[in-house]
Amino acid sequence: MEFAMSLEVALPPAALWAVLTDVAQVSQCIPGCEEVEEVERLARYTAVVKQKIGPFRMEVPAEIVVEEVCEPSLVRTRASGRDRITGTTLAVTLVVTLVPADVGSVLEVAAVVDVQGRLATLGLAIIKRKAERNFEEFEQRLKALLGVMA
Amino acid sequence: MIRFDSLSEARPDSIDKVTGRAVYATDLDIPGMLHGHVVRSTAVHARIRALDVGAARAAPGVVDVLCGADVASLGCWGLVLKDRPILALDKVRYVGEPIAVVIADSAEAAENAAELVEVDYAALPRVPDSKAALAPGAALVHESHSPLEDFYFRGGARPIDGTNVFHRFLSEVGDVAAAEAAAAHVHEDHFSFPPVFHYALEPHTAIADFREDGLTIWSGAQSPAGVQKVVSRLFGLPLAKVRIVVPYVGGGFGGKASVKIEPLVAAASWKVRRPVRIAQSLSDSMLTCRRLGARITIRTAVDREGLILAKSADIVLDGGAYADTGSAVATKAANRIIGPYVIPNLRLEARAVYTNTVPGAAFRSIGGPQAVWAAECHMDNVAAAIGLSPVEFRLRNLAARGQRIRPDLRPLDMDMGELMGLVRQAMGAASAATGPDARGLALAASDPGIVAIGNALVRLKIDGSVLVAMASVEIGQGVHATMARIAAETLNQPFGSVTVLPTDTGTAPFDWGTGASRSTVIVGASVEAAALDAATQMLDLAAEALAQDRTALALVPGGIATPQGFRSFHEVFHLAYGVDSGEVIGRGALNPRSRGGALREAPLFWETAAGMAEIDVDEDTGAIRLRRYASAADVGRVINRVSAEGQDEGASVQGLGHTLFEALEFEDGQPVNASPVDYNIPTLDDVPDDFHTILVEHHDGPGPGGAKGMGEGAILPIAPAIANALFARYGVRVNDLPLTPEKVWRALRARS
Repeated sequence: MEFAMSLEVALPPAALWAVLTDVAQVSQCIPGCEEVEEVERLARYTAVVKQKIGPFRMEVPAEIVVEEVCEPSLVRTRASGRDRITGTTLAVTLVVTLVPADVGSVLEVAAVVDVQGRLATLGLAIIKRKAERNFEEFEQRLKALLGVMA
Repeated sequence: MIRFDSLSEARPDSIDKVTGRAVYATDLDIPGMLHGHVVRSTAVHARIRALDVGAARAAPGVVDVLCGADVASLGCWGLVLKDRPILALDKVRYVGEPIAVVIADSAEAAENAAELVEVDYAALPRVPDSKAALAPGAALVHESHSPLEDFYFRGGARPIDGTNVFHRFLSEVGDVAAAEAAAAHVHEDHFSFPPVFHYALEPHTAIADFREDGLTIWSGAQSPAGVQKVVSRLFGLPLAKVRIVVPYVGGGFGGKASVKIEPLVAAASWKVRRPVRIAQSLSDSMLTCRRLGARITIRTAVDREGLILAKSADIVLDGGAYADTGSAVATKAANRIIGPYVIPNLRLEARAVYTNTVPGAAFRSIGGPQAVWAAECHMDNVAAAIGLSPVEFRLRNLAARGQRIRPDLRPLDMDMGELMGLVRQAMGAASAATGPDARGLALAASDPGIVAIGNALVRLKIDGSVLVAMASVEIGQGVHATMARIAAETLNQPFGSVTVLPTDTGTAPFDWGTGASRSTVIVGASVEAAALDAATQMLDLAAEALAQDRTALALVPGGIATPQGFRSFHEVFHLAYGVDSGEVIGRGALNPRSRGGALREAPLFWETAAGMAEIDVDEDTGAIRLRRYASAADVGRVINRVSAEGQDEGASVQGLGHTLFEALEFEDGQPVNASPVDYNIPTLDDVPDDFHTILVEHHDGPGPGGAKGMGEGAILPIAPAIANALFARYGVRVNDLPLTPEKVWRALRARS
């Protein structure tokens, strides 16, 4: 499953970079993302992702590894984890790119979500809709955080 | 002289079915039987780092757990390539691959304990589809290939080492490049066809009982002899010690052909030395097999008169994680894309490739629906490009009866122009509601891949009752009633006096299997020969016992007509044997050497179909409704009209499924809709109000009374006929199935 968004932000890349690398703040934009802890700044984090999908509740302890950083224009992270109860594994690769614009910057986010396991086998279609909604909500919250008009 | 009255008599199986007495594999209870539940891979392509079955083994009711390590020494099995372990060993190749079987004293206990099996996977690079499979540097689903030769079909797979291609077929006739260079017009199209689930109402179910003195398997298998051969080799058992019993089967359509879950169930019983039953759910069966999806490039060169000079096709089939009989599907797709046309230059290439998805399998007219979808949509495109009507373009290029469409294939044994005329005639004038344009036509000529080996025993009892033993599977098509009718007519006994024994390799002589439209022809001819043999023996016995001239005697119901009057079989046996007991046993056998080798040339007969569709399109939603449909086939001879028409209608409506609704979808290898909730098939509401089946009989087939095989052809034309109707009415061409409302709506919008 692939998702993408792009928005124009009034802040220049360097200022936007500072906001986006405040992990505690940005993680609040991700629906269901809780207990975020920094293991090593801009390298490793842990979190718990809680989701309700149809009749199932999923709780995925996730490891987040920052795979590539190129300040102040690109960060690629990979979050992965496994829900113990349903044996469902979740992996999300997120690429955030900041491009200078005439005024401010353009923020581009591309996500690849991979779900495997019982929940995926039962109904990836439902998961896909849920993931789409989550991504939309992430976009809204991020816009709110950055003060961008929706 | 054989005669058939063609009047339908109630099929014994239909009475069993409507009264609920019919027994399927799932209804059987073998003393001491345990229940197995399959633990399946949830990973698309991964190494198994660790498998922990300790908690499952300790769970209440659990007797044992079968793992890959238990069966590793038995090796791999397959039909065209030996590529398949009984259970995943060190790696899994698709979501749904069996990893372990939890064996318990109840199905519930097994299912509950299966939840406790822990698998630790290390993901491997995936091959999610056929494009990825052929990409340079693609991950390999199988590191090496082990093709088998003449094992299940004649010939074998032709894999390409170091690639995911497990079979490549190439057929070249003439010089396509030169013909294209000289052509007035060359037209190329690209089509795709998704994987489709068979959706038999009865999911795969089998019971195995492995004992010291042999192995018995009860299964809804279409190919009992294939199952017998594979498990006998896997477990090192003599064929005579392996018995396959097939009760009634709730639909197969190729999804129960060759070999499916039987080795797994046998291994479970082998481990616990008790009978084990595995009854899959429909969702499990959706992860067991499916039709091969296809991507097809097709190109035709025509001259100024609209005569086809050359055709080339490049067909890539998504065979899934294990080959099964995918190589044959590929070869047949290449044969079936030719169509009933005279084409002097051909280049046909088909490749079947491994992907990390549910294994592909035979499905009604293997390779045919994919090939004919592309071929017949393309015909209308070419016709439009050169300014001819679809009918005129076809008429100019049709092969006549007796012409060969490729030098290595038997000449056509039917008149395709006749079938085309019949469907057009049946449709009559267009409905006012749809207008004159919303009609489409499609034709198909397919070459059934028949292994011409069949055997039957017919036993004529002293009281005139008859027992028929043969291995064709009663899968809903009415084959047992057909065999009863052939035996009854040949012996001149009432239909009701014939009993066809349930399919059991322990009592029935060898038969290749139920598929490829072969049963009526091959097994029917074997039953006919066996009945003739029994009749000859009975008349010889009577001539001797009654001291009569043999030529003066004839079989009549219950006995013999003699110049002196009726003598019952009782009297004849009594006189001949001195006791009031006995029977004669007739044997019928057919093989490629029979009839002076006339059965050797392929195909044994042509299975043909013409279809014409009239559709309504809701322009606001893009939804297509099939309003009227006509289907015609040359079947040689109808033996049971109700069953034959049912086969034709059933095949058409099954084709309507892949035309408008069905696709087993995968996203990066993960099945997306592998459940009956998410997977759509046509219902009674989708069947056209007006449906014509026309069965042409020229009594010229190789089967009893001149019958040809049937039941598969009608699945072929419906998808292109509907798409051609959409093209005729709106000028839009949708190249990938199914023709969902969204695709049609987008195409209509793009046009305006």
